[in-house]
Amino acid sequence: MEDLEIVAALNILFSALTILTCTWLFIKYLTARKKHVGFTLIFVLALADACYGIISLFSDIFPEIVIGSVDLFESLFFFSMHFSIIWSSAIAYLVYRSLKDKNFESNMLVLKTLGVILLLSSGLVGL
Amino acid sequence: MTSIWLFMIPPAILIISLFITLGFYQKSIIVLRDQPEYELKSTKGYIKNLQCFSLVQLFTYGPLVLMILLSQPFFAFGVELRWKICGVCECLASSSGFISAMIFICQGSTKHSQPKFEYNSDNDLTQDII
Repeated sequence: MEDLEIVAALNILFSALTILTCTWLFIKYLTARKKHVGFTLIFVLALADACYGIISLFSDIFPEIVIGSVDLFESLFFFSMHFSIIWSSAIAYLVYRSLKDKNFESNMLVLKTLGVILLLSSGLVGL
Repeated sequence: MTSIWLFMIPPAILIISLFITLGFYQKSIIVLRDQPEYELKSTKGYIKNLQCFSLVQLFTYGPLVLMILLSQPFFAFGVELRWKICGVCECLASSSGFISAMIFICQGSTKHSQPKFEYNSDNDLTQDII
């Protein structure tokens, strides 16, 4: 086996593991009785990771489909990558806000932040 | 000339994100220290828990972002070496969700998923912030 094939095999393995564990996190979140703020932030993070994992897995298993629509896959790839990076900062900001404001309304602020980051990530993909 | 600046944007975002992340967690620790009404152990666990998730994201996607920049033709790299390093960075980025889930399991799932107030004698129940 060539080095590049080993790397591709490892990528398939890690992508599959990511998709499986993220699915487990989704189930855990959706079945949780109380959806705490920390868990909601991790849930969004898992969504972005699962999206990246699916794109990565798809590009290794079905390269002919990816070659057929490079623009779409490239956009999705960069979108999930940018989103994950910016969301990690958003988590830090929301943790700070949840401690600073005693009357912190988690859902509203999380949704607003999510909207801003979705717009920002889409904008970065469009560059 | 324009394209090199476009490829500089993701690394710039990565570095800015890293500073913002570290800055806000530092500020959160200061808030926790200044406000004694928070239950110290649990709330510190909440901060550390989410800090782990943020840093995992930055350190797993970070090498890929840097490699996307370094793999551009204007950097003198061997093509095969470039692809190999890119592949390894992609593996690392793909494993991000898996690492996050492992941290989630190791840190006791939802145990520290929100800040908690210290026990208050006026109120029988430990209050949640939400």
